[in-house]
Amino acid sequence: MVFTTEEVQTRALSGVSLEIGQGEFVAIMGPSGCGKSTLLNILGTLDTPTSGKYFIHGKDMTQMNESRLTMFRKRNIGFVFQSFNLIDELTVFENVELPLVYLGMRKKERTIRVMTVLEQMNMAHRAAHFPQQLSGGQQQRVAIARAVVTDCPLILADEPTGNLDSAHGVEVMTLLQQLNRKGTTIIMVTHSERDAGYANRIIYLLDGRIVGGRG
Amino acid sequence: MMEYLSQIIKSQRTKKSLSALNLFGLSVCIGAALLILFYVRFELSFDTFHEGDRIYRVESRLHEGKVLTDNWATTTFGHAPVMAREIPGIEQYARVTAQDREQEVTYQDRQFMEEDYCYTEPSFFDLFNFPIVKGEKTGQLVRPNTVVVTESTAHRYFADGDPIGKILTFKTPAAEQHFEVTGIIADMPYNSHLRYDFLLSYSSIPETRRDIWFVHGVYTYVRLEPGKRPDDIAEGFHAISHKYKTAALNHKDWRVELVPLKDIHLTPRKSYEKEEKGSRTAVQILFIMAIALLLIGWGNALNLTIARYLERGREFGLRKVFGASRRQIIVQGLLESALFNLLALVMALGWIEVLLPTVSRWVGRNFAFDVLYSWECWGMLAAVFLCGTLFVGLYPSFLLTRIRPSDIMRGKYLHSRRGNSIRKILMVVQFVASFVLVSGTLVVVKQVQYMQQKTASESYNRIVVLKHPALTDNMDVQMLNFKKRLEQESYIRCVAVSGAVPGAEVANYFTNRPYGSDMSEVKLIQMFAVDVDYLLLYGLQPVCGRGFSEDYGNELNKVVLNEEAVRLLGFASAEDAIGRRLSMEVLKEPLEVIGVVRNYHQQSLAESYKPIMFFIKERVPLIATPYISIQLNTEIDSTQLDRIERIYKTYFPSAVFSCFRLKDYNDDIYKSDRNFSWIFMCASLLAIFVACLGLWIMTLFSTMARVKEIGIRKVLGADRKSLLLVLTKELIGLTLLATVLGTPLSVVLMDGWLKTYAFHITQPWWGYAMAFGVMLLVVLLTVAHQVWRVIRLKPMDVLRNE
Repeated sequence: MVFTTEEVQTRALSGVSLEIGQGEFVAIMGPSGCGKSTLLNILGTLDTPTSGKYFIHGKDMTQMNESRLTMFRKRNIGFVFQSFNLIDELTVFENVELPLVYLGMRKKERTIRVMTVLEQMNMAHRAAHFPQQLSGGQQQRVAIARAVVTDCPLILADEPTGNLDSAHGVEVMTLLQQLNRKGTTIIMVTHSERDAGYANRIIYLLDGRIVGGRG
Repeated sequence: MMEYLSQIIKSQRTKKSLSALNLFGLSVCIGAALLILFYVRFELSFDTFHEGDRIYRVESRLHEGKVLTDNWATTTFGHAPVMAREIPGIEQYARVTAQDREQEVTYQDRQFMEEDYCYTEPSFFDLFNFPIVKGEKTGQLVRPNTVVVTESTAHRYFADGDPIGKILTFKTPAAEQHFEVTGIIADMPYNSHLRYDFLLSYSSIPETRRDIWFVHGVYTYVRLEPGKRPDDIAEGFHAISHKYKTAALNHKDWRVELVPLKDIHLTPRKSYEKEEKGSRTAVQILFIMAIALLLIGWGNALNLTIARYLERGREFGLRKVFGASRRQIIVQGLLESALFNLLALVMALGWIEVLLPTVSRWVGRNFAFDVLYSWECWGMLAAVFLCGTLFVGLYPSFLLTRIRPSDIMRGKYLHSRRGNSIRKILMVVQFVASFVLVSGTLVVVKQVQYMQQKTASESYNRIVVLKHPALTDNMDVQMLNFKKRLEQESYIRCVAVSGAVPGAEVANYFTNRPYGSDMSEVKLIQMFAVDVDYLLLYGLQPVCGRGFSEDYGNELNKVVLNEEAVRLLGFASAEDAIGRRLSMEVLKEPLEVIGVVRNYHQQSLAESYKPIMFFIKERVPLIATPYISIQLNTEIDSTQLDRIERIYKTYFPSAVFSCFRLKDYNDDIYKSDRNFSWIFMCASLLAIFVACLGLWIMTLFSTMARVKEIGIRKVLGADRKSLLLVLTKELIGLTLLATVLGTPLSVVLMDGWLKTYAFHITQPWWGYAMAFGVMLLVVLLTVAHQVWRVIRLKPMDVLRNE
């Protein structure tokens, strides 16, 4: 993968070879700038590598055009971020509803799905609130609700507990673990050894290369 | 103070190109607005240089019942002395003759055709402020056959010699007079409705004609005694008018109206009015346009300043933390704005300096001749500067003092989409202003096109019009021979002598009535003196009957009417009019109607159809025939024109050869309308350009604020189409809102303008749809690049906290 910045061409990732099975819970660890972000972009089909291949269920993602990638992404991948990344202008309900809107689902069905997920996350009573009115832990639960509302088989989580205190952090990790037990594949980037402990496999990244693994 | 300044410079340093762009936009707006304001001031300043608060022009109005049948700028020669004698309250009066006849003026070998002359009384100098620069200060124009000329005219005839005492010879086709130059006045200013080069003494008019009542041939100016109301004077005349009515006016209600001197220029044109008129509606529209441009410019600057301030929130927050008071923060904000506005103003003056000569030439008027010496213009500059400084500086400073330092410090407002409703309102105002200008442009352009198409005839390209030569021995015979000689030329198709040509006012209102009918049936009809070839040459469409022709022998007592005259005289139809006889006020024998022609636009489409009667010019020789129209087989070229001039010189060796192409002449009719449409077009282009500049800068900030949201949406599976919609929805809504708000405004404004034309288009609805389309397209093109950039961003780069 060649990454272009203003001054020089930098290799963000090189020689990364990785296979993740369905139902796995994988943690990726490494220092800042080691290429985690780029790897997550590629895994999330938000970026394509300059060379090399990426397959999901035998489909070559690097051969798909932009619109097919978008189609694939919205059906199959959910995202959870450290800074939650909720849209401030939308309510909790509308934030969770958004992926379903992009799937073209009908309003009635959307409402049922959103409320079901919010109840699962124990957030139904907050549906009409705006993200800014919630605590960090609550916001992250909304973000997870948004990631799973489409029933996608793969969740990419980027430092999901980075902005939370330890109690809320445990809460979120437990949620992810429960999802994994129901069959969802989870790939999580983290700095925290404790969080990584929830995963059944850990991959270490340094200067764009995989330098080790555990689990 | 220096501390403040250095801070300002430091803060501008960081975003140099944006500041420059912002400055450029504002300076262009101010420049254009000032140019327009200067023009508006010029139009409003007409005749303000006299001490004229109590001066009025007396204008004649004739009513039949309640209907105003005749609306003239003139009165009869007799009005002034009688009114001054019989109606109390008139302190002074001066009559100025109104005539459209050109005269050939000669001094030794210098000879020019002149039309800017008048006969007037000594009191002219008492009423009006036209300073005498040479010659006796008093007693001018008392003696018969004396003349006062302007400086530039004196220079034209006498170069650097002393003009006083020199004799000028004035020649019409019918007479020759000599005048002694007794005084020189400064050239009459551009903003004077009186524009004469020669003032001839009124006493030169034969005594029998000086005070006559049957010709509306003079402009009458009066100065009232202090405290007198013009309506009382008008009422006073109405009470005595019956004593002076000629038989022709007996059944009419004869009144006068006293129009304040300063209002003359901007009132609608009346019959017998010679000067180039202004339009009050146009002036009002221009004023609104200038304000709109300023608002657009300031709106941009304010928008950008708010955005910049929020971005610099940290700096201000720090200042507050370190103890800067509210006052200090506001002062800094205002100073920054003042500096910015001053720079923009200086740049704007630069634009004006560069553009003024071109614009003046365009407008055809030197409207900014006294700008530098006028306190009003300096006042305008100061006002623009002050309003701009407050407009741009006040709100952002207050905004900063209102929000808590801790919030600013945390960058809470930075790139936030909240709390910027004021910015949105500004955008709406800008968009509405742009919309009104764009849709207005379409209306004005359409109307001007319509008028030009209606007036233009392909044949005008092939018609050249000569001015009738001044007095020559045996004039009638010579003219006939000249005409016959021209018709022998192979490239000439037809020649006609007439009292007017298309585009010129026929005037010469005479009373007519069906022969044998009661005196109360008389109607005032324009008398159009023509020869037998005129109707043919100009291809006037017959409705019924026939035109003049030599085949029918003597046509002297025959006339042709237009439909409007038929209607006015009360005939049932055009057919009904044929064969009817009319009696005309100056003739004993009846005239027979032999034909009716379709109504046509003799003058601009601003004028309604006028009743016209065509008659053979020899029948009433006192009506002048100043035009000789020559129709060629092909378009006019200079060799043909040279030949025509040579032939002219063989018949009229001492006369000045003067001619114009009919096409140019008719193009000139709509010159001021075309100028107006140009001003509109330029202003709307400018408005759109500057509004888009602002929009572009705003998008730069607002998309920055939305990068995260777009990233999230993308991650959640939004495709490009839906992202495009998310990013442009607001702009489309804004344009729609501007259309909804701007349409009624524009409809009302433009309707007012269109109503100043007797013939006008109806406003096309699609014009407004088109204006919307144009705006939307321009707006989307403006933001396209930035939107595209945001859509293509890699979301993880934005969403990860690394």
